[in-house]
Amino acid sequence: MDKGLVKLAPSILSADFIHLGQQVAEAEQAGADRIHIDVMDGHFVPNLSMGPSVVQSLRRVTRLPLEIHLMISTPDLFFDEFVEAGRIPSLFTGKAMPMCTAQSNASRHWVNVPEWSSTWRPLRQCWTKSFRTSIKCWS
Amino acid sequence: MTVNPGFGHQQFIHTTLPKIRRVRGMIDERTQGCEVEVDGGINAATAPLAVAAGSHVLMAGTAIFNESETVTAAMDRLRAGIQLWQQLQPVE
Repeated sequence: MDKGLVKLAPSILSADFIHLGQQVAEAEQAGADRIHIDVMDGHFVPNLSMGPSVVQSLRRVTRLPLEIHLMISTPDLFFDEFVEAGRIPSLFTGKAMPMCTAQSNASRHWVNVPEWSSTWRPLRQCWTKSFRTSIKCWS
Repeated sequence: MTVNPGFGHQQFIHTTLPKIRRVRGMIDERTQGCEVEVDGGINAATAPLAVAAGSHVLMAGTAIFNESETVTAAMDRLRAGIQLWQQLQPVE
């Protein structure tokens, strides 16, 4: 990995939701490397944000990897739905923070295997594996 | 996470920097090509600190989506801050 190259992941939590599609498209044009989507359930963290429908809509306006940050108490219940909505190339959750493993492995799978049907299986394996071997880096 | 998760517009927690360095070190001992991403409080001032600590994927919310400048201008400013810091580093 080129240590000099820094990737930017704009988080839409701060975006103007009236113009969400437009802002994400602008971020892509400006050279964003991925779009970060904070998913909150009001239980795992004290705030509510967005769900799979937003991910599904954003998939239509950008080809960038959608990075779904699941800050929810039951990520396993919603995992499939988010995968389906965003064809997720990268995904991590708050509790176990398996972001390093999940992201690098998942991105590779997604890029190499364009077919959705064959994509999610390695993703899932990656997900469960990450949970077991996760590195905690909570603030 | 470099803020307490849940809300945008938070200040970067500087005590996470040694943790980023430690995670980077643990990863580098075991594997290559693994990214460390920071999430929270990243702006033109804190981005170079995170990069210096070993993170090369920066999540930024308010620093990119805000009312005072366009998304493009904000991203350019963020990148410029990081590049300036990188240029100031002594060559190994």
